[in-house]
Amino acid sequence: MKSLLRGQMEKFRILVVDDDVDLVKTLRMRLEFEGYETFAAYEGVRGVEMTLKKKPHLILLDLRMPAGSGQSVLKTLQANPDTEKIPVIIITAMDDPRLETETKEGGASAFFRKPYSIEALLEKIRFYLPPKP
Amino acid sequence: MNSPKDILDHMGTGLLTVNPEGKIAFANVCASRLLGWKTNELVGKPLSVVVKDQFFDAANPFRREDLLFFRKNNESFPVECIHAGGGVITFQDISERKRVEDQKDEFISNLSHELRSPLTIIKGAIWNLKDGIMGKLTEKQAKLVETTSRHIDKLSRLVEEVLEISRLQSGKVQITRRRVNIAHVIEATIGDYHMAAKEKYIGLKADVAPELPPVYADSDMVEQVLHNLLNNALRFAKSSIVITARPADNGFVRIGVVDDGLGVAKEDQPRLFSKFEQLQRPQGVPGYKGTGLGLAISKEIVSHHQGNIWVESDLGKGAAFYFTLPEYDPAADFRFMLHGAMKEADRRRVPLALAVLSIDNLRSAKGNGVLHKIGEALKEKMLRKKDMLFRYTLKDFALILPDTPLDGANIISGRVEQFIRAGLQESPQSGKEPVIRSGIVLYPNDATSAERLIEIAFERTNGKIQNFGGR
Repeated sequence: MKSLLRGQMEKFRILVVDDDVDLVKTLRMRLEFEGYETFAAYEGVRGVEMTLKKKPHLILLDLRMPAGSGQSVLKTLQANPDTEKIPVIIITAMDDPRLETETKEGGASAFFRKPYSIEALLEKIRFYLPPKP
Repeated sequence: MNSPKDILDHMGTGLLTVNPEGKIAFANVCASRLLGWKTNELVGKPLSVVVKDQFFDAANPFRREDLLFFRKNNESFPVECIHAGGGVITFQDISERKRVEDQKDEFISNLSHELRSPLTIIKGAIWNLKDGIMGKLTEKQAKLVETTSRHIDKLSRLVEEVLEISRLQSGKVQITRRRVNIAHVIEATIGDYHMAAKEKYIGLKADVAPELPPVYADSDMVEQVLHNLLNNALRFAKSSIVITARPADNGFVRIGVVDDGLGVAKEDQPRLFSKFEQLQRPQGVPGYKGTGLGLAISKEIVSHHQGNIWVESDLGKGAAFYFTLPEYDPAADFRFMLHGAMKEADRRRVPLALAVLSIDNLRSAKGNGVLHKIGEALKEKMLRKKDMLFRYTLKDFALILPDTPLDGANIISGRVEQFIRAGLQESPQSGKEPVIRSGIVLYPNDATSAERLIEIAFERTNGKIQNFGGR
């Protein structure tokens, strides 16, 4: 992976886009403990801005948010050659069974329904961003 | 004494009679009020001014369906419609019922969102504590966190099960039925229980009849029923659990989970499949307490598959939980796929076409192999990704064409016909020249039920529907 060539000390960056402040807080705590550098955005539009600014290696994306749904964030990121390759993992509490197929067809790499198993989520993240030695 | 016409006019149900030519012969006051026509205006008009679907079929009465009827101003409204024979159609406006159902669905959907979000945070926080992210816990703290974690998991399970049963009961659950080998499902499920059974010194084995026919089911859902039954069996079995699968009557397969535990008293058996009924646990035996929804969910799942679920047990002599699933039926599978495509067309407000191509004068065995190859080549080389191709019977192709208007369907069907013709010429057969006949129908223009669409498409090939049942 390209980023692995850039010095061993540099951490993988993960952007968490979710309007639930407490969820973001507990999730970031865990991800940082696992050795990732994290950023947060609490609105869809801000999520796109942060992606362009911070160039994360992976994005955890909620769907139902103010100012830009997760679907619109995904669409914007997929339409931009600079961001289309960033793996996006959807984390949503929404019930509609069609969402998984829709978002995966829209370019999402994985789909987790809340309340997800943190172990399963971490395993998926490690698949895209393997722990550094 | 009221005259018969008075009685009909005072009914709270719309009533129309239709003559053999398909024209309205009589409409009662309720019908005219609901449809926005005067009663005398309706008489003599074809039934198609009211219902676009070819619902009325004199040869095929006793049908009850939810349909869309159209008012004089061309506004549509949902009705429950019964054609009880003799050209008599009764219908009721079900707009209010549909509105309440939609509201309930929205409520469930919102509730699920509002319950899942905080659960995710609590779970995340507890896991952070458990894994020492906030520092090492004392033994007492760790125990407390462990108990909390277990109960959060139980609460999550309960929330999911409550939501699932609501979805199942409202009919809004997505069921993907396919041809399923039940032996494989049993094998996959049983694997998760070997360890737990061993720990409790319980023998666990499968006993599947050889050459069991495949079933027509959603394999994830069948697995879920098996998980529910196995979880129960594991709580109560003394030394043995056997999962059985046997052919049953009338084209069904029967699956059983049989344990040698305490059994269920006859008087408790009828309540077992109700919501929040807990099986009586052995006195003084601690252990995992279920949510009380497992059997109710299993019952809903099995009913969605047109099967049955029941228990056979005597107190003290173990319990055998059985459920049945229908054998695989290609025609039912096709109807199901078409139904799904129709729902998607409704959602996206786009037309949907169904094309049927029947091939006559084929030599059966060789022809079958040739058509199979042609079908595979069609999928690979000609059809769009969204199109769905089926071998409806040995001599018919049925083609579901999403988002396709009539002219587009005509073009595709024409090309497919040419493709089949070319394929057949490559493998010439002795005897008569094969004949290809095609029929195209459009949803929702020609009919609004999957069954009728298929019937009309076959009628338009000028042929009779053969092997309609598929078995």
